[in-house]
Order: sequence, then C-alpha cells, then structure tokens
Amino acid sequence: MIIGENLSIEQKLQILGDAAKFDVACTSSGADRGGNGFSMGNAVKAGLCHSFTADGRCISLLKILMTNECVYQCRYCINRASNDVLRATFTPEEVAKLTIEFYRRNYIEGLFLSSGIYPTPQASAERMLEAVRLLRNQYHFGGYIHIKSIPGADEATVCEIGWLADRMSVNLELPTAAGLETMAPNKSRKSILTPMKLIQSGIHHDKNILLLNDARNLKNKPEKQELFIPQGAGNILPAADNKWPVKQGNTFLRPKGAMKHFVPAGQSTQMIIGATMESDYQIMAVTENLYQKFDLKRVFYSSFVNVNHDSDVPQWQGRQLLDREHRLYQADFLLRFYQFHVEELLSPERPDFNMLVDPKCDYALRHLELFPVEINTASYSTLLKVPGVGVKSAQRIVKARRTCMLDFKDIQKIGVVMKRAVYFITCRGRMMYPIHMTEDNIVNYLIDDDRRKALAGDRISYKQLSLFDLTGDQTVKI
Amino acid sequence: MIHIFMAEDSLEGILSAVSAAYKSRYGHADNRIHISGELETMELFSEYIPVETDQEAAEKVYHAVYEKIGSEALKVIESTASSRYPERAEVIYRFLILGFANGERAIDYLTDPNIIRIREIYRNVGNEVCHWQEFLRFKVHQTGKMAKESVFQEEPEQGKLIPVQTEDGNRHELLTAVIAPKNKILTSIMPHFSDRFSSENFIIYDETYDMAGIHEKHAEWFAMAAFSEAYPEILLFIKKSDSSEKQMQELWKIFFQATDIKERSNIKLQKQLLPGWFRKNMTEFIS
Repeated sequence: MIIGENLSIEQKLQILGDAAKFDVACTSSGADRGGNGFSMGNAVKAGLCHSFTADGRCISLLKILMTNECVYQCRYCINRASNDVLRATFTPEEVAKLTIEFYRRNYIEGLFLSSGIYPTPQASAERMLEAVRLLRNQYHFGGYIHIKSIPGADEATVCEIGWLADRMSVNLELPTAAGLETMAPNKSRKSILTPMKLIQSGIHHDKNILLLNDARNLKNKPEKQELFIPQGAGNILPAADNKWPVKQGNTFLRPKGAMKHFVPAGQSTQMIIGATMESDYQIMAVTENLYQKFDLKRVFYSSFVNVNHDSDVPQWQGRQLLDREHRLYQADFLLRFYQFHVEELLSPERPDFNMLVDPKCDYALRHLELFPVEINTASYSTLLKVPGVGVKSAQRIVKARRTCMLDFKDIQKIGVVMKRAVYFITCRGRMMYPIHMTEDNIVNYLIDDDRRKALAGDRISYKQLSLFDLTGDQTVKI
Repeated sequence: MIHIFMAEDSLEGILSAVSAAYKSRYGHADNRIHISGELETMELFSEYIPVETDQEAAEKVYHAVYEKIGSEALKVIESTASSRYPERAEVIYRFLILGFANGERAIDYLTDPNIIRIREIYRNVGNEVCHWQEFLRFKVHQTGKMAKESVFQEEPEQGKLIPVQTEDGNRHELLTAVIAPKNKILTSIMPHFSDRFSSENFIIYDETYDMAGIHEKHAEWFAMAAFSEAYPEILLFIKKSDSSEKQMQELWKIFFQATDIKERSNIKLQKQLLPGWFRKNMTEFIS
C-alpha cells in the first residue's frame, strides 16, 4: 500500500475517479424535485446523461471513491489491501466543492460516492455521511446524491445517510453465497442484505405503507418475508428472518436537516458477470427476487475485468462476455417492462441464454403455438410478446387502432421492427409473406449473415440451421 | 387555384395564418401555409397571400386549440413552430384541421401522413431539448468590482480548490454557455436552468438563431433576439476563461478520461449517443 502524501486535487481525482469506474450504476433517475427558489439544484425524474464514455456508458454523476485505502481483499478490485497502488483520500470539503463546482457548470446531475473500507466500515460510512451533510445542509445542494451503503456500518449511520441521499445501493457482487466466498472473503451475504432490508423498511415506513399493516392492529404475527427460490437454483438467497422490520427506536425518525423523503429514488445493486461459474438462470432468478421481494429499482451487471492479473480467475473474454452481459440486460428489461417471468425465459434444463437470438425471439421460437398474433385485436400484453414490438410500439398500436384498422405499412411507420416481427403477426387476417411456421425456418431468417458465418466456421454448410444447433452445445458458456 | 398564405416565422404568425385560411373560405384542399422569409420556389397558378401577425386572432386560435383539442396539442404545435423544418406551418395547419374536426384523438391518427410527420417533429424537437439540457456546458466568469480591485490569483493555490461563492459573498460571478442547436429550443431549456440555478446569474447564447437567454439571480428569465448586434462585447467576454475556470475544466477532463474502461471500448456507440455536432462547446471534447 503506497499512501500518497500531499497529493494535489488533480491527482486525487485521477486516482479516485478511476477507482470508481467499475461501479456501473449510472442513473440519475427516480427523484423528482424542483428548485427551492433560493439555492442551487433540482432533480429530474427521468435522469439526465451529461456525457458518454468511450465505451458508451453514460456519465451523469461525479462518481468517486471517498478513499481507495482498503483493508479488504476482494479479488476483482484493484484497490484490494495487498496491491501496491497509490492510495488517496478526499476530505469531505473537497468532495462537496468538487460536486458544487461541477454541478454549476452543468457537467453532472450530482454525486455518486463510494468508499474503500478503512479502517472499519463504520469509519468509512461516517466520512461519507460528513460529505453528504456538508452538501445538503451547508451548501443547500438540491441535486441528485447516490451513496453506497457500507455493509457493516451502524444502522443509525445508514439511516442518517438515507435521509440525505436520493438513492442508496449496496452491491450484491456475486449471485450466490459460494461465489461471494471465493471472490470477496471479507464480505458476507448477511452483511450485504442487512442494509438493503433496512433501507427497504425505511422507505416503506416513510411512505406510510406500514400504517395499513400496523403491528398493533394485527392479531397474528406479520407475514414472513418468504423468498421464492426456484427449483434447481440452489441456495441463492437465504430466507428473511421473522422480525418485524419497523424500528421502534429513533432510527427512522426524521433528523434535523433531513430531506423531505427517505431515499426517494429507491435502491439498486450490481452483480459481477463472468468471474465465477454461475449460470444465467441463477443470475436472473436472483434479479427477479430482488425486484419483487426487495423493491429494488435497478439491478446492474458489470463484466468482470481481471485487473489484478490473477491466474486462477477468468481472463478477459472480450466480445463474448460483453454479449452475455447484453443478454442479461435484455432479460432484465423483459422482466421489468414486458411482463415476463424468469421461468418463461430460462430453466434449470436450459440455464444459459441463446447467443444468436435475443431472449424475446428465443421465447417466441419456443412457443410458436402463440403466434401469429393479429395486430388489430390482440391485447397489450400479447403484443408485448411479439419480437420487434417494443413498449412504445405496443402503446401506439393500441391507441391507433381505436380509430382505424392497421395494415403493415402503418405499423412499420409506428416503429415496429418489421425484420423480426413479420414472422409473428397478421394484419387484417393476412401475413405479410407466406411463411412456413416451423422453428427451423424462422430461425434461419432471424439470424443475420454475420452470426451464421460465426456458427458455421470455415466449413461451407448447405444444411439449414435448426433451433437445436443453437440451444445445444453452441451456446457459449463463460 | 392554390392559395398560399405567407405567415411570419413565429407561433403567433402561423396561428394568424391559420385563422386567415379558415376565414378565407377557399376550402382547405386549396389552401397552403408557408413561412415567409424562407427560400421559396414560386409556383405557377398559385396566389401568394401575405398574412400579418394578428395577436388577437392568434390568441383566439390558441384558445380554441386548448378547448377543442387539448393541452397536449398546444405542446405539439409550440414544438413544431420552433422547429427548423420548412413544412412546419403546413403540418400545423393540417393537424389543426383534423384536430378541430375530431378533438383529442386526432394526435393518435397514426395512419395519416400529416399526423405521422407532426409527431416526428414533436419527438425531434423534444429530444433536442433533452440533449441540450444534458450537453450544455457553463463557464464561470468572475465579474464585479471586487474582482478587479483584489489581488486576483493568477495561479490557483497548488492542489487546492478555489472556494465556492457563498450566499452573501462579495464575489460576483456570471455563468455563460454557448449552444448551436438545429431547432429553436432556447426558450424551452431556459425554464429548466432557471429552476436549477435560481441562485446564479447566467446567459445562454444561441449561435444558430443569434438569441440569448438571460437569467438574473432570483429573478425571472427572459430572452433577447439579434444579440450579436446588440451586445457584441458580451460575446467577446464569453470567449475568455480565467485561471480558476481553467482549473475546473482541467479537473473535468481528468475525471472524464479516468472513467474509461479500455476493454469495453465502443467509439461507434459513443458517437451514436453523443453526436459530433454537440461536441463543439463541450469541455471534455475541446482539447
């Protein structure tokens, strides 16, 4: 550990900005807050992306570590205790000033603050709390603040931060406890989930949801927070304990200087993809659990980059890993916007995504009995299942067909991707081209030429590709 | 015989022309509305009728749109009027004809080419407004008597940040920004920035349309046209940066480059999300 002495602000920002880049949570959305008329800042519900990195990720917040000194030894992190990297620490004043000055110039929507663990989780959390307090109570900053919850910090500190921040998150890192054990031995499943549950109950408390189910009114014990663990997924997440989460002490009372709501933009989390051998099914099962049982707003997936050049963890697989990450994000959107369930997309028998067609097309190909769908009469949920029809297209179709019958040229103008949709829809009872509705035929049309060459390799193949070719051994397992 | 009404380039002008077109009773099929002052190939067998902007008539039409078609329609025609497309007046005219006949649902007539076109324009202008809210970059200038009299540091203290202006400080600061939009969106982005930076003085200069939006601390914003003629010295002032400003710009560039993950490099995607024509005035792309 090389501790930097008298580092300039430029050097600190270089080190601590670089150190935070693998935390891919980039959104500045979820909080709707107008300016208060006398001090600076507002928050836009949809979030704003002020810039984009050279790899296409959005930059909307000043994403920094408070310090990259750390006593933990996580295998995926460049700042782990045994590495010889230059260590730097921001003072709370510096964090606040940087945030304010960048914000005034419209470079950022707000601050994203994480920290290495030094010397203890509680000490790191307190330093972060100091910075946020400065911003909110002294500079009266009204912009967006995203703070990482530190596993192991006191509940009181986590709650105090919650009254000042817009979003809080804690990284799950790996989908299984076993994976976490290998990659991050200092963290435990329990220590990560505790702040998540705490903040979740704080948000409920703030929204007065619990008033309806007030413990005093219930004769029986409150319902156990059961976690659905899908068959064959293994011990993914432990069942919640039976304690009623409302604090009777002072932890949820609004402290002086607090913002109007407790963590108004909710929580998010992140999982590392490609470091361990979990299947896509396990990852998506955990994702669904997090959305349903823990009320998370977003789950992010970060491709594993072997920054420490360890020989016993996977090397960078390039395109393959990024494609897998892309599939996971596609499935994540299907869960959130397209009314899909994990069971429809994957199963223990088929645990990984098809690399050649996206999950929605894959579902459609396995359920050809549902298609073709008549555009003019199908329900909104049925329309959402059609490949090539997105949420916006489905909404427009539903609105437009109230006034007139739609034909193929109309839905093309609406924004439906005809290249994919044409095999699955009829307009006014007719399909656009006569199509033999078997899996193999349609699969051939759907895969574009590049990928077909990748599949066939150097051999010239006259055999038609079948669905079996794709789902059998051809799926690339990372 | 086609009757072409020449409207002035503003929402009031276009609505006056709509009012004139209805009153003329020539029949909508034979009417067109074009913007006067734009490059125009004169057509044969057409009558060109210039329409003066009549504030009262325009307000009547505006009110009628609100009553009969709805508030969403008002947003649609305001956006279209501020766009750069030469067909904007004609498209508004056709939309209003449909709207007055059918009410609120006219905007969903997705089989009609005029409705498709006006929705495209609405989306295009809306997207550009969002983009400029994101990509606009302010510069901070020190102004006022204190700046000249006090010993103004040429170099910021080594490694430290210049302190932020406090509420009752004597330092006066002015934020300026330059944008070069394709559509006339300055008046649409001013409310967002006035709400966000209510405690700041700022000027946003629009290069394409030669307009400036001006906001004084804790006051209402206003816009000014023909700005380069009226205040050329301000434009010169905007181009300068002092040393503390340069330090913040350098810090931003350092942060911007630090966020790169080389293994995931995808310049094509970056170009798609942040097109080149926005980058002229963005700190991180000016080297």
